[in-house]
Amino acid sequence: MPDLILRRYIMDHANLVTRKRQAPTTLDLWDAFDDLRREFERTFGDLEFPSVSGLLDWPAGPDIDLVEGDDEILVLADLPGVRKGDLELSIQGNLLTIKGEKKREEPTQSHKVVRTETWVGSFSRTINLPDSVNPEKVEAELRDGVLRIRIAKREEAKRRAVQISVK
Amino acid sequence: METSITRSGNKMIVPPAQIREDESEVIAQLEMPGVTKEGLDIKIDGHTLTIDGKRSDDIPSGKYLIRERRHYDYHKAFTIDESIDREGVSADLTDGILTLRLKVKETAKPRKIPVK
Repeated sequence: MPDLILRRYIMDHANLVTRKRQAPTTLDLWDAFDDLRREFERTFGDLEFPSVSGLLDWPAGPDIDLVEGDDEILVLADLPGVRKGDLELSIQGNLLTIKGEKKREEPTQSHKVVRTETWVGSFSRTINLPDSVNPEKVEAELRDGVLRIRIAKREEAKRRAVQISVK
Repeated sequence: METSITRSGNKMIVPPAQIREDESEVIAQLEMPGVTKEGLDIKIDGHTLTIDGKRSDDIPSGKYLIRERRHYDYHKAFTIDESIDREGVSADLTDGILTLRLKVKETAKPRKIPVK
């Protein structure tokens, strides 16, 4: 039977096996380890480890994809809850920096926080773009919590199919 | 190495959540970047509240130099008890964050008993 983590229980189906706790605020050491392990399995279970970040970097930064297409470089970052005004992008040479602050509506006095799996705070991430980028041509868009930065490639770096006629 | 990633298969992301409550409501906030209102499906069936979110952002093709994001749809289920008013649930999706407000039934609220 599921036991109650919350007073009026809203409960995670993933957490049906949690042991009885005295109160949500007391932290049992072994429970904490269990939680950590579960969190790991849940987060990394379907994903190879990101090659650019250390184990302990997670999760205090946004997840990023860097994709090299034929004509442009695309940088995608998951930034749920980040507003345009709290985001700062800069590009210097082929270094792209994404800086910002992720905020959360603070609970009022009467609200009790029963569970937090999300992070808030400031973050900064600098990534190395391929040398083929043209830093003059950048476009960024933030929509539905996803940041999409398009950086054009230099003309000479674009992949082009050239017809060679054989005489 | 060209990588092509598809959204097929049944892998799902369990969106991280923050849950807070007071005497009259429970607020659950879930991070679901890439989901729009149209892709969201929230259901209550008995004691189970399920949230399904389909991502609407496309998966770019090309050579992945960094790949950390997970391109799956979202799924989360909560068990809710009798004290939650089934009709009093509201949802809002802003900047990839889903906010659910679940009202507590009047009868389930704590009552003050005056001492004569």
